[in-house]
Order: sequence, then structure tokens, then C-alpha cells
Amino acid sequence: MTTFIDYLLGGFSSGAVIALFALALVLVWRSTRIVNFAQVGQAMFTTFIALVVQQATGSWFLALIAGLVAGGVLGLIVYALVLRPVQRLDTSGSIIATFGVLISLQALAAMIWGGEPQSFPPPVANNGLEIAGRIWPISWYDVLVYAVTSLNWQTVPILGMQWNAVWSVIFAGLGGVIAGLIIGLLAARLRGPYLAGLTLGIAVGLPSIAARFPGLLGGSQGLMLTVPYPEGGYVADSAAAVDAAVESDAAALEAALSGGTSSPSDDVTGSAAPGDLLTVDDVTGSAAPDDLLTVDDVTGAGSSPSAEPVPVPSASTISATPSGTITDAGFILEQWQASVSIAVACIAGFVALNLVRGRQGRVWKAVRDDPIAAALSGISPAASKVSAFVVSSLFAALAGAVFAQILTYVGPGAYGVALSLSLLVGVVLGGRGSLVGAVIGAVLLVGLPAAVSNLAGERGWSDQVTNNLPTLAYGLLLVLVVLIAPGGVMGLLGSGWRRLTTRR
Amino acid sequence: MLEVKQLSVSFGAVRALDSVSLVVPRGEVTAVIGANGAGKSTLMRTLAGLVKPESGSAELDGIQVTGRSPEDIVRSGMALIPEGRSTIPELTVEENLHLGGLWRPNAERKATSAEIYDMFPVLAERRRMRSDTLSGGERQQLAIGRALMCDPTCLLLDEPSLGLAPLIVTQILQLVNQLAREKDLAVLLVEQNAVTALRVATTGIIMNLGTVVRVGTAEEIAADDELRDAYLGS
Repeated sequence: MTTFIDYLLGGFSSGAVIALFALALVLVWRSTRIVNFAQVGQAMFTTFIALVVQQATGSWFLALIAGLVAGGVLGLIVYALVLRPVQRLDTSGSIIATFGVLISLQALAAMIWGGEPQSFPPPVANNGLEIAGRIWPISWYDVLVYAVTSLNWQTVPILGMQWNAVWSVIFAGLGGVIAGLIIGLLAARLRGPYLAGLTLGIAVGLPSIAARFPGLLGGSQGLMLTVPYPEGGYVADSAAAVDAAVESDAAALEAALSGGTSSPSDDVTGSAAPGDLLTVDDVTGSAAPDDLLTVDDVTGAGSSPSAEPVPVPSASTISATPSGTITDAGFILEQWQASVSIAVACIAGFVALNLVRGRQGRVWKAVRDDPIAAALSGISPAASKVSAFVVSSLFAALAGAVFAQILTYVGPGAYGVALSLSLLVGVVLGGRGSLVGAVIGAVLLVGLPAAVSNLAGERGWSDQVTNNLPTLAYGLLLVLVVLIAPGGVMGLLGSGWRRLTTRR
Repeated sequence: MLEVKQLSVSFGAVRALDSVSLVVPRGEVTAVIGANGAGKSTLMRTLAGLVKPESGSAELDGIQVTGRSPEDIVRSGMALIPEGRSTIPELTVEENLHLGGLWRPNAERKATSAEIYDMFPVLAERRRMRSDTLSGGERQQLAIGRALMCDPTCLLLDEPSLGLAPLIVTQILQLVNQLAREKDLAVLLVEQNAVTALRVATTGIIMNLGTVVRVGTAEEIAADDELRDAYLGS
């Protein structure tokens, strides 16, 4: 009961804070038509300034004044540098730009004051400042990732603690459809900033809800995911191998590999059914052409995972190097993960491209560009929005399920700051609204954090700076891309192409 | 035939339409003219289902259309071409056109679009181009074409002349007149440009401050100088 009251009170206080932030958002929106997501970051930043002043002077009053003044000054700076220039952009452009500011502010604060939460002395805590410190880390979460996380939580009890890789993906997909339907129905009548507000609310709400059911969902630690180790691979004619694969562990894998329980090498052409997810070839080594992934043996003899008909372009590049040891379960696990994620990504990408280019894609474009014109053409904007939410949730759920396979556990922390940032930066970098751009962006941003921290490491900067520099780079990049190249890489390519073709 | 009975619309305390009644017969153009703020656009938006009426009704061939959703009204045969030619910029001419009849069976849709290409040769020429590359007049034709894709019995045109050169306005309005006669459409045309509108219309209706102040034949109204001075300001 006590814990229940704790939760209730906690809920009230965070609810009040969220209401305050929402009020701030609405105020900016009403006057500038911009949803300022940097608001939370600005509040956090000014809180830090207030803390510094309080520590230096010991005066609460001065700290309060300093905080208010700093808030005003920071607001002016953000307005002049970012909000005013982005006003000419569409809603999503301004949202992304303010997100960039938010990210930058957080990274800057972490650089200056360290990433650890600092405790604010009590008198000011009652004014909500301490809560602001507690709120800002979760404001990152974006709805896409959260929907996924919650869905994975939902599917765990259904399946028991043993996760079957394929089933988890399917269940997550189903859950995604249901959640998308619910959110879509809620959001169907909303537009622009209101919709953004709703998704933000869901993003903030879901993790805290999930964390409050520790018994069922494992709390903030999340749940462990048992990845089915491929024991002799999923061979079509061996149901036992599939069963065993689900239950197996690294030791069993080792035994299977050395023993060769179901050796596909004997019938390379026969057992290589297109449906196979993975084949670990036995020690004699050979390649099954139809398999999604082929792990070659130590000897590497006849390693020719060539020309695969399934749309898994990079599968052939993941073939084992001869130097890999046979007992290296982690290595094989990685291959398996890569095969699943690449296969899912390719299939999803193919479906998405068809959807966007096809009839439904045209309807979505029409509703997005001009809902009234769409309605006047006989299209129901509400139904179209719901369907968009359902489809996007489905894709997000798939992504989350695959991601969980890779992490081997599901927990709120796993779908956190870094991932959300990466997603956003990737999408914007590549070009908003472009599927190809999203892929390009994803490739670009995988290298970014490593490159930036490498640079900082080489210069011998302090850890506090080095660790937060990638985040700052993310934030600044977001703002810059929105201001300079709103179309991202695809936009630049597109305008370059147009320039080339019109010159002729 | 479109029959509007005692239609009233309020925005807060402002009465935008005050018990407006009018009849739009098939096979001819009925022009609603009036100064800014007379309630012309509100009338159109209410008929199309974008604005909910406070009271009154509108019936299309005896079937009630008020109180239904815009997409539902379109499917039952009344299409509004809104002010400002709202075509979807990112889609091609052909895609825009098809948008207007997406719910219809493929064969019917193709037949209608072929008809429209015959009617508007410019659209056929530019069918693979994005609609934001079209000129204003072409875009207006596309908007009319898209409205025709639902095989309507009643067409509502809101200020088609807005931002177009006078010559193009005349062409488009003559085309609308021809459409009404050939396809037996009930056409309700809202215009600020009274002279041009009355030239193609059979009946003229003058609105002022949300009410209908005068109904008459187009010639009658065009000839009445007093009316023009009082309500049209030109």
C-alpha cells in the first residue's frame, strides 16, 4: 500500500511538472507556431545555473533570480539563433531543430557539470527544480522506441520466459499493430503540434508505467531474453534441431559443432531449403546456397556463399573468416543476429518501398499535405492516419524485436538516449520522408559517435568532454541540417541532380 | 438538384449564415455573388461537410447531405473544388486525378480519367509531371478534373477565378458551363468577380452578411445597376 501511495504521489508530481512543461510548449506554439522541445533542456540548463549560484552565494533568493534571468537570456538566445530562423520551415522541421537544441544543451550541461545527476538542496527542490532534474533524462525517449519496448514487455508473459526468436518477432509485430491502432485512433483527429504532444506524452508515460510493474516486466532492469543458439542450424528436415536450438546454450552449441548433430554437408543441395534461417556448416565445410546465412567452418574449404536469391545482399559478406575458432559461440551468435536483422530489414524495406510508392502512399501524402483536399477527394483523413500509425508501429515493433535479439534483454535503459538520438539524427541526416535516406542516414550515423570520440581521445581531452562530445555533435548536426540542408543527404542529392539535369 | 433549406451556421457569436435557402437545378450554373464576408465560402464549406451547420439542411436529389463527413458527401456525388486549387504538390497530375476516385473500381476510374483527359488535353500532356510544376490555370483544371473523378451530380466551385488571368478565367468558366450542360450537373459557383460569373450562369444569387438578398436570372441581376452598387461594390 505504501508503495502504491508512493507511486501515486510520484505520479502526481511528475504529472504536474509535465503539465508545466506542456504549458510552456503551448505558449511558444501559440505565438510562434513552433513546438519547442528545447524547453526541457532550457529548464535543465537554468536549473544548473541556479545550483551554481546557490553553491557560490549560499542564497536561495539569488539562485532563484539567477535561474529566472538565465532562463530568459537562454530563451532569447535560442529564439534568435534557432527558433526565428526555423519559423519559415514546416512544423516537423522546427520540431527537429528544437530537438537539436535540447540535445546540445544536455550534452553541454553534462560537459560542464558532469553527467551524474546532482542533488539540489531541499528548499528549491520543492519548487520543482529537483523534479526537473529527474524529468529531463526521460524526455529523450521517442514514441517509436517506446511503443516497441512496451510491446516486447507484453509479449514476454505470453511466451513465457523462453523466447523463440521467430515468434518474438511475430508477436511484436502483432502487438505493434494493436498499439498502432490504439494510438492511431487517439491521434486521428489531432494535427501537428497536438499530435507531437500526444506522442511525447506516450513517450514519457510508457517507461514509467513499465518500470512500475517489476514483477511482471522486470522493472528497470528489464527481462532477459534467451536467444536461441543455432545448434547445428535450423535445418528444414530436422524438427529436433529447431527444438534443441531454442533450449540450447553455448555449451550445447559447442558440442553440436564438434559433433555435427545434423550435418547439412552431406546433402548440400537437398537440405538447403529457402526457409532456413541459418545453417552452420559442419567441420568438413560447404555452402548451402539458399540459406539466409552461412557460417563456414574452420577449414574454410569451399566457402562460397554466392549469389543468394533471397534479398539479403550483405549476407555473403558475413561469412566466417578462417581464423575464427570453432568454440567461439559469440561469433556465431553475431552472425545469426546479423542474418536475422538483415533479413528483416530487407523484407521490411521492400514492403515499405512498395507501400510508399503505391496507392496507400499516395493517400498518406495527400492527407499529410492537405487533409481538407484529401477529404474533398473522398478519402477519410482519420482512417488514413490510423493506418499510418498501424503500419509504422508494425515496423517499429519489428525493429524492436530484432534489437532485443541483439541485446539479449529487454529493458527501458536499452531503448534510451543514445538510440533515440541515433534514430532522429539518422532520419534527418538521410532526408526526412525518404526511405532510402533513412538507410543512408543509418549508415552515416553508425560511424559518427566513434569518429567524434576518437577525435576527442586523440586530442587528449578530458573524459567528461570526450564522453559527451558525440551527443553534442548529434545535437548540433540536427540543428545545422535543418537550417542548411532540410532535405538531408537525399535532398542534397536531389537538388544536385536537378541542377545537373536542368543545365543541359 | 441541390436544395438548401434554412441553413444557418455560427462561429461562436458570429452568425456566418442566417437561414439561407436556395435551389441549384441540374444542367445549369447557379452563381452566388457577394462582397467579402457575405458568407459565400462558408456556404460552400458547409455544403461540403467541412463546417457543421447549426440548423437547416441540404438535400442532393432528395438525399440529406448535411451532418455527414466530407468524404461521405463526395462519395454520394457532390464535390467541392475549394478556394486556392488544393492539389497535392508532391503527386503527379495522374496521381492527383486518381486520388479523386480511389474508392471506385479500377475500370470505372480509368474510364472517368480517360474522359477527363479528353476534356482537358493539357492534363493529358502533363500527366506524369508533378502538380506543383503546373501553372495556375492548369492547376485549376486539375482540381476540377479531380472533382469530376467521383462522377458527381453536383459541383461546388469556390472562387475559381482567384489569382488567374482574366482570359483563363473566361475559358475555365465557359468550360464549367459546358460541363453543366453536357453532363447534366448542378453547378454552384461562388465568385467575387460578378460580371464574369453572371456571364456563364443561368441564375444569380446575391448574398450579403450571411443572408440571401436577391435571386434572379443572371441577365436581370447583371443589368441591375442599383444592386451592383449596393452589394458588389463595383
